[in-house]
Amino acid sequence: MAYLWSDKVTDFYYSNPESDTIAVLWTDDDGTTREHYIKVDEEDEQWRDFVAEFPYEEINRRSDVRNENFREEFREAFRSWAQREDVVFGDADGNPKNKFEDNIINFLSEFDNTDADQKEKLFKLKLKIFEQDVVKNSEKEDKFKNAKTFIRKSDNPTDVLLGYMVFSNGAELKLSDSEKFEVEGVYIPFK
Amino acid sequence: MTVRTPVYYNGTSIVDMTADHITQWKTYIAYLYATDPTVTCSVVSGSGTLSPTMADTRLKAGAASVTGSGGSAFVAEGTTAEPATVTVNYDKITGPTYDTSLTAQADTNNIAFPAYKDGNNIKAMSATDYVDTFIYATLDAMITASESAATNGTYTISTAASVTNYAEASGAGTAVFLDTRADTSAYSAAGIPETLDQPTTITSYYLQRANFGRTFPTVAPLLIDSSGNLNQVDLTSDTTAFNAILKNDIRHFAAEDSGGHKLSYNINGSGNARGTAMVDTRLNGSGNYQQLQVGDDYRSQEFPNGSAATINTYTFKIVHV
Repeated sequence: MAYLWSDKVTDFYYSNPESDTIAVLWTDDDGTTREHYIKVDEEDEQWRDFVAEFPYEEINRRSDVRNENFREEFREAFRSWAQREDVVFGDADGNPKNKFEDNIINFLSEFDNTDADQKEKLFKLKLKIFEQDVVKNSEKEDKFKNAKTFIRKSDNPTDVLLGYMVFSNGAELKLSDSEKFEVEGVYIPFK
Repeated sequence: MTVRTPVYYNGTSIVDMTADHITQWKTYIAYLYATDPTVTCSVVSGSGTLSPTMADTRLKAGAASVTGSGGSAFVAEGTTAEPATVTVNYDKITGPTYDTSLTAQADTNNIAFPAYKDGNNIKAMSATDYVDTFIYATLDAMITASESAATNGTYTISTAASVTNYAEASGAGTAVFLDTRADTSAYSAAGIPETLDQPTTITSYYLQRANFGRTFPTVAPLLIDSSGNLNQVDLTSDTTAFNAILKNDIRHFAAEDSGGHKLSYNINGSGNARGTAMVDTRLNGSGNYQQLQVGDDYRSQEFPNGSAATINTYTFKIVHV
C-alpha cells in the first residue's frame, strides 16, 4: 500500500455532517501539512486501505474531539456575546439572576463613559431610540432636529433619555445663546 | 487464456520465476508504458470532456444597507441582505484520449513470446497466454488505488503542484479544481460597504501523471528461437526485440483492449479513487451582522461566517472498461 499519506498522517476526521468524506491531514517531505480527502466508500480500495489502518472507531473519536472543540468555541463566542449584550439568564427556577431594576439603576447612576463596554451599551441605546416610530416619524421641526443632535452627542444614558422625552413627552430643550450647539436644560411638562 | 509462469536461467538450471520476479516485470512494463502513454488526460482552460463539471461554492457578503442623510438608524439584521453563494464551475480535465494507432504483436512462428514449463517440456507461450501473463497482469496492477512504480503512466490528483515521481499534467502548474472560501479576515465593519466577494483559496488540486524511473528486472525470460535454442532476453535496453514488443503491446492494449482491460478515468463513477478527492467546502454561518456610522450614514452589512463544511466531493477514479 502506498499513498501520499502513508506513514505521514497527523490527523483525520469526517469533514461534513453527512460523514461521507474524511479529511486526512498529512505532512509532506517539506514539512507542509496537506489535506487529503477520501470519500467513504466500501467499494473503493483507498478507503478500505485507510480504515484497515485507522479503524472507524478512531475516525469517530477524532471527529468527536474536533466537533467538541468547535462546540466549545461556539459556547465561548456565545458567552462573550451574552456578556456584551447583558443577556439575563434565569436560575434553575427561571428567576433572573440579575434584577432588572438593578441593571437600570446601575446603568444610569454608575455609567462610565471611559469604559468601552458601557460606551457600546450607550451607543445601542441611542440606536434603539432612533428606531422608535415616534422618533423616526417626527416632523422636521428644529426642536426635533436639535433633540436628535442632543441624543447623538450625549455621553451618558440620562441625557439620552431626556432627549428622547422631547419626542415622547413633549419635553423641550433649552439651548444656550452661544453659536455652539449647547443644551442648558430640559423642560418636561406634566401631562 | 492462462496466466503462465515464465522461466529463466539461474546459472545452473531453468526455473520458474518467483512472484517477486514477475512483479519486477510488471513494474518494468508499466515503466515502458509511462514513456509514451496511449491513454491520456489533459488540462484545458474549460469545456473539458471528463464529466461532471465540478462546482466550487463559497459565501459572499450580503449587499450593504446604508441609511443616508435624514435617516437616523441602522437597518436591522433581519432586513439587511443575507450572505449569498458564489459558484465557480471547473471543467478543466479532458480525456481519456486514446491513441489507437498500434496493433498487437503477432505470434511469429508461434515462438514470439517467452517460454514456460509444461510438465517436463519447455514451450513458448501462446499470444493469449502472453497477454494474460504480462500485459493484463500489468494493466491490473496499474489501476490500483495504491500508487507506486507499478502504476506508472497513470493519473492521480494531488494538492501539491510538484510531487516526486509525478509530472504535473498541464506542465504549467494549472490546478484542475480550486476550493475557495470567503476570507472572513478580509471583511471588517470599518470597511462597510465591503466588496461582496472576497475569496481565499483553501486548496488547489492538480492532475499528475506517474513518472517513476526505470528499474530493469533482475532475471530474464527465455525466448525460443527458430532453431529451438533458448535465448535470454536482454535486461539492459528498452529497445531490444522483446522489450519493444512489451512496450508496443502495453500501449496497444491499454488504449483499445476489447477484453475488459482498457484504461479509463472518470469522476465519481466506478473504479478506484486516485489520489485525494477534490472537495468543495463552504462556511456554514447565517451571516455576521456588522454596523458602521459615518456622519449621518448608518451602514450595516452581513459578512460570511461559520465553520467550513464539505459540500461536495469529487473523486477522480481509474477503471478498466
